[in-house]
Amino acid sequence: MTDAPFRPFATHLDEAEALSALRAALAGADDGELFLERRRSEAIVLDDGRVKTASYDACEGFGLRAVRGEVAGYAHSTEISAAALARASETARLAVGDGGGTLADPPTGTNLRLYSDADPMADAGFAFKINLLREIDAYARALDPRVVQVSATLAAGLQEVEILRPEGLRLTDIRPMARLNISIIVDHAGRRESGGMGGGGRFGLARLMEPSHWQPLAREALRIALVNLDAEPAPAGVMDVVLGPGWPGILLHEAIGHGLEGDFNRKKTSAFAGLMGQRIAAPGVTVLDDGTIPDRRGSISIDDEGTASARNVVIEDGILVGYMQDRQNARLMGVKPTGNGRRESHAHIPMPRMTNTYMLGGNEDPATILAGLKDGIYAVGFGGGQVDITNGKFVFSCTEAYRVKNGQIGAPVKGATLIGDGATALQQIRAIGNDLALDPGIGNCGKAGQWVPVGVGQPTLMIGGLTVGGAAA
Amino acid sequence: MNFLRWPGEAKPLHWVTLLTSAVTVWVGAAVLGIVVAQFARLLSDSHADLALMAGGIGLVLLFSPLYSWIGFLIALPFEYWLARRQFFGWGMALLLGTAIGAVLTPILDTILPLFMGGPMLVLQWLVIATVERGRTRFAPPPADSP
Repeated sequence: MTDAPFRPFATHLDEAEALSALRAALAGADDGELFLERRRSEAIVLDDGRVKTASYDACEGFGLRAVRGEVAGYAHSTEISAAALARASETARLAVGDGGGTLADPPTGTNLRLYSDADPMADAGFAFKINLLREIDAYARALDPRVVQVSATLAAGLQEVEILRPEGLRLTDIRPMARLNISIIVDHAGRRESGGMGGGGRFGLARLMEPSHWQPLAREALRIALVNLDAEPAPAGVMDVVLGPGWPGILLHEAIGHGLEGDFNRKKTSAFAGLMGQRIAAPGVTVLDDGTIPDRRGSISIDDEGTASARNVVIEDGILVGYMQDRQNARLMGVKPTGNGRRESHAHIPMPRMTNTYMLGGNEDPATILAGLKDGIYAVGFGGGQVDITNGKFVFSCTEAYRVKNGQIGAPVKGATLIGDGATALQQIRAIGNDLALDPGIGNCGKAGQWVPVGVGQPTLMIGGLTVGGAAA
Repeated sequence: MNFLRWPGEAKPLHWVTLLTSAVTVWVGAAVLGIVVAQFARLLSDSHADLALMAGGIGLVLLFSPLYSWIGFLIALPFEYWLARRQFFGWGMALLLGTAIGAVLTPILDTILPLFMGGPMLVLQWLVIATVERGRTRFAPPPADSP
């Protein structure tokens, strides 16, 4: 595999032949496309001063989809050739059956490019990257004598996508991705705690390799680890919770965002199904999914079906106004696609997925919100979480949280989990801060076995009556 | 539902989910046995033959936990291994259960494991699939990916 630009119709396939195979597969279908992809990525992990992992992956392939009604036939191959395409065409065709469908209108393309198409891995040589990670390791250790372990990850990749539609339309997108993560373990009086921080997005590694970028990350990772050294067991019970701005938006993403994806609503398995136009959140709550923010981790110029990404409002002032749609669900629900048809790779079928999901800021000063918290938790950092879409119930683990009493931030707490359900939590939002922030660019979302990069964001929020799981009596 | 492939994700199928589902089906079989036996009692006057058959099935189910734990214990590591490789579809569950049942049949000196092994693991698979259906996750990317 070369580093030359991915041009499958110049190097692997004859376009006319491919179009003919695609049209044969889609005769009588409602929709479908040929999705071709080349993906290259590398990752270097320095653990405790030694290179633990240095990997480079490259793969290419295609996926051919034929949609008829609610059924989709999908065939994929890592071999991009006329023979493989012919076999895939026969397989995907099975979903169309006797046909009878009317081919949907093609996606409206866009000339907008939200990120550079330069290869982020080419920003520096391998030796430079290793040295940088060693420099990070040394810097982090020099910050505090209690630092006993440092792990730093530098990862980058480039996904090149070409979509061929049965009308003959060809759409392309070149998607860079880069990420730097630093994790620190501190030891004091026999107690060990960890803290981590990272950042990234759709840009070159050069931006991440600047000391002005990674030094604050290292200091922040250390700060979190030191905070956790003093942490007490988290309390348990139902209490009010203040969520910090930015990364805590993962709760918004999981607990609410997934429930607003078109497929779950079409199948009526979402807690928000059938509530279009109704109030589902407290007044003042406006939630967007926006794939058009330049350089963000969740941004896409076009989605994996060729639809231009968009800034979609899903909740406006507490009222449900839209779902996130791919082409199949949009057609079945009689609405327009929203540019949310995404897939992990050519081996996966597209489905409605979020891009950058965030809540708009309100009017309240974050300090005032905290001052209004009588007895609860101030959660600033999260490790991850999950939600059961059918009932909206979520569980999130905090990596940095504090006990708050009478508006005063007290001791940090360890092992806190936030438990609740999205629909209730939305109604229980009591205050919205004016400090909207987006996450640093380190989120991955998993759905039906497919992981895609996403972004989240929110202002400081107070949510009433969440269940906090903790170890304290 | 897929014959071969696990419908969810490979890694997040936690061993606790696997163990909990096994215990659910293990105990659930006895509970189902009680229900079927009661149903047989209700039928005893009007449909004696049907009641006799239902009663027999109820008794087998009621006492099945006494022996089925052996099958579940053997199955768990195989299920875990298959699920991690995304090859724990309902068909694989049926095959695995039948195979374990076939192994246990001569040891326990009864034909029942051969017939019950497959359905038991398919039931367990259904419990897992129900729990995992619609579950979404959010996490930082793995170390080796951008």
